[in-house]
Amino acid sequence: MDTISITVNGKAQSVEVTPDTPLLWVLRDTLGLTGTKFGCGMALCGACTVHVDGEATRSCTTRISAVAGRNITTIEGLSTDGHHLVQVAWLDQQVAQCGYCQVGMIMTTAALLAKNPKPSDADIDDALGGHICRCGTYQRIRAAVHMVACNCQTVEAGPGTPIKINLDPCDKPGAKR
Amino acid sequence: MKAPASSTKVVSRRDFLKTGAAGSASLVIGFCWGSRSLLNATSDAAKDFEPNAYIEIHSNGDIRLIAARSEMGQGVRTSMTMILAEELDADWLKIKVEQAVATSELKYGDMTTGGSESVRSSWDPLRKAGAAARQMLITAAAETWNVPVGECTALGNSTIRHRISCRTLSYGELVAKAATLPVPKDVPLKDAKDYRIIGTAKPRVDGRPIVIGEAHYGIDTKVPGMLYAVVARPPVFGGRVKKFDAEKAQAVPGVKKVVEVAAVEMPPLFGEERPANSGHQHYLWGGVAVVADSTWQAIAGRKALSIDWDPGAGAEESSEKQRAACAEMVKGSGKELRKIGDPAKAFDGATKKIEAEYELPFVAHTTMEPPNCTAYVRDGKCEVWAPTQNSGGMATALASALGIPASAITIHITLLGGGFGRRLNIDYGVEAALISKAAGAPVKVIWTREDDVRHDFYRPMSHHRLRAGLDAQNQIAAWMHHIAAPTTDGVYVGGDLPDVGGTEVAGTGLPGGVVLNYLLEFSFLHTRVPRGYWRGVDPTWNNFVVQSFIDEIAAATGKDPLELRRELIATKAKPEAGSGDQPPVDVARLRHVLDLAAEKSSWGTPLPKGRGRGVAAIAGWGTYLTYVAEVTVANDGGVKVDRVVCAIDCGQVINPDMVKAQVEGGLVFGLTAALFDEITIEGGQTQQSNFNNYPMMRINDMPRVEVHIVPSHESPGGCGEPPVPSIAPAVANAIFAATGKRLRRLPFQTGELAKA
Repeated sequence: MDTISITVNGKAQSVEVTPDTPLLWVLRDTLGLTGTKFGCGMALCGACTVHVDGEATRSCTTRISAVAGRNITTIEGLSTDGHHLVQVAWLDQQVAQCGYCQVGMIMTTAALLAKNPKPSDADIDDALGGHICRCGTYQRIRAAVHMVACNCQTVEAGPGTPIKINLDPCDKPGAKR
Repeated sequence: MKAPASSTKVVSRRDFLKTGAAGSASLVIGFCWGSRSLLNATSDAAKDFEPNAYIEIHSNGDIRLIAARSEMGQGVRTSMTMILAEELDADWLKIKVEQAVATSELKYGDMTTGGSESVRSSWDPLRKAGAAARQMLITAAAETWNVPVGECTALGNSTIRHRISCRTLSYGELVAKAATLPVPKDVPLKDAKDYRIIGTAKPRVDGRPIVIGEAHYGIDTKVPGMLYAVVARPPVFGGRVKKFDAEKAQAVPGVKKVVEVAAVEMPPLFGEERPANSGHQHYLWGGVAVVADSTWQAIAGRKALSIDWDPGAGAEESSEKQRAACAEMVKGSGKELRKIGDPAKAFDGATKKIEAEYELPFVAHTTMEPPNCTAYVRDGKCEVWAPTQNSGGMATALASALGIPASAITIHITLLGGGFGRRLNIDYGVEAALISKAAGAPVKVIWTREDDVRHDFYRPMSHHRLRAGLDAQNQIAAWMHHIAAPTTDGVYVGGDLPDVGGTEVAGTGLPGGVVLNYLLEFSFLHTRVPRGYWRGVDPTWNNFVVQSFIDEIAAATGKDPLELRRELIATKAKPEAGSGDQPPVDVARLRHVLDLAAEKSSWGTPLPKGRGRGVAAIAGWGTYLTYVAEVTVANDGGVKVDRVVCAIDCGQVINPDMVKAQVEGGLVFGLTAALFDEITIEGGQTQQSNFNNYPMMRINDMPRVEVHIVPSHESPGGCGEPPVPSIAPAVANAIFAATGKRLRRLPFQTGELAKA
């Protein structure tokens, strides 16, 4: 067991683990940050993606010893209020189904857009092609990335449509209250 | 998916609803839905009314719906909220759906989530309960104001208004009085034209926790004092632990205990419906568990284990042997499952004969959240936190494996990181409980992806021989279909031939009832490879075969494939759905989705060289769906699906955006299997292990998907499974259109398409 210092979501942390422990399990089991998900353990699916000094990184194959002293950002620290533009776009486009892989998708997208604010479809394929969503939400993921990039409004399926109430005499102008 | 519960049962008992007081000033309405009760106890009509779902309306206006359907991405919590809000005329944002805890008290009825029926089975009871509650609130308002009930209206925002005086009262203000009123019987339900929530695109009620990382899946469970475990399971199906040496594993830092997990024969998944002698068994094949302070330490400990396995007779099995055995079986005759007319005679006398054989492999579920379960067994009690589609089955199996009464078991159903049928199986719950008992602590058992891929309950492999005889007018005079496959449920250890039919032959149906002379035969492949329910279940084999073969007949007769389908269902057609679980087929609705997809896809217009368009359709789970796929085939044989047009009629739509999401996702599920997925067996072991050798579709493989929903007020159909089966045949048919080559084996062997 070694004592290793890392900074997670701006907070200095000291953990006592074997140096070969993947960052993923330190985050989840030691620090209780379970927003980062386990999917494959081989950097094949992207569910475990976090930022290490701003770079999208697969935490399942990153040894804790390799990130000593580095700045790590997880989904819990992506934004202070949960309103990072990528998170907003994900909700607006109603991307998630089961949602398990989406945290990784969001972390990779945030890192992509920080470097490349107007990604092409090919750029999106490159960045997110390392991720797997078994629910098959890819079409909406692409729409959400483009939405952030162009700062567009809802295409369809946005937040609730207004509720229509049958007009009765009380709704007419001048009705007594 | 096998429908473990009847999907359209309307609760008709006289005392369908009853009120109760939950503390102060709340209106609580209990009601019944679902059919089979938890833990096999029957809901005896003579007994007192036992509600299995509750609506609570509180004085602050909050509304809770406590109900039992697992959320696995299908949006069921949102759909139930919408259905309730509609009839209750409630502010839908004030409704919170809470997952019922599975206990032995039968409180929540059948909690199985599968068969594309969560909405189908909630639809009637939820609307009735909502309407009854609304009527009670209206009556309470009328009594408060001392005015006739007929002058009071629910406004749709949790408020009642007196139309004469324009006074209003909120639901919160009315609950205390409403709770004292009798529950009205037979309150009329809304006419569909008056819906203001049902049929509109609403965002998921539980979307936000997902994007901020606070959605709580089974794998995120943490309970005080919890340890972590991984299990070394027998690599060969049916194998056993002979002996093991834990010394090195015990020396790994953080490893607390190494325990042997006993092999357990588990009860049937969905209660006792199958006859006792059906021969289908579910096994936990045991293994060695390493229990540690963290997941990684447990994994490190497992690597250090030395285990001597007894592989058993399963070691003889291989995919090549299985494929050869099936190919041999379909040459002869099998068990006759359905026969219409005299197919043999009609075939012999046919002017033109068409024959083809098709093959599909075992495939795995690979939910993104791997199987996992947290269990705490102590003092003769068992508490479990599980991402499960089948808490009832899990409770039964836990009681049996632990030798404790069902009343001592509590199951907390977490969010599911995907289900797809994998979590109808209960192995991982029983295993976790046995380990917790041995470790004397709460234990979270995590499956690595390798564990998941190698120890799944796979969609069965199958081999199909199709024969059609055409008469002089090119009409189909005979259609014969012989399936060779294992069955779907667990493994089979009975006599020569199992009881086939429930979940093996759905989706064969279209020609039966359409063709005058028809034969369906089945030959059974014995194997220890465990099988289970995979999103779309048997139609994922049979629809591929039938919809491909219809295209082969079209090609042989020079007919347009879509036109031939119209012909087949045009006259005298009474297509069979193919299994008792499936509702009858309405030909007009099937015809309509064919026409709509044709129109929206510009069917019949030319495409550039190397590209092709293919059609396939399905009727099942009360839903009708047609895909038209457009593909490009490269010179090296690479297939790119460019565009898919879907026309779907799933009856009354609750939330059109979720229907679209289910189509997009179901299509990806089916297309992933068509393009990539194959579990192969060698030496009795699964050869694949992770996404490097069991690949998944990714964003760059995603076609443009367009979904067209047929407006309808028919009863809601299922949406989770119908989008899965028909994408493979639509793409196979498009590949044929592009290249003239017919691919009859999944996943597509695209090497056959490469140009020399």
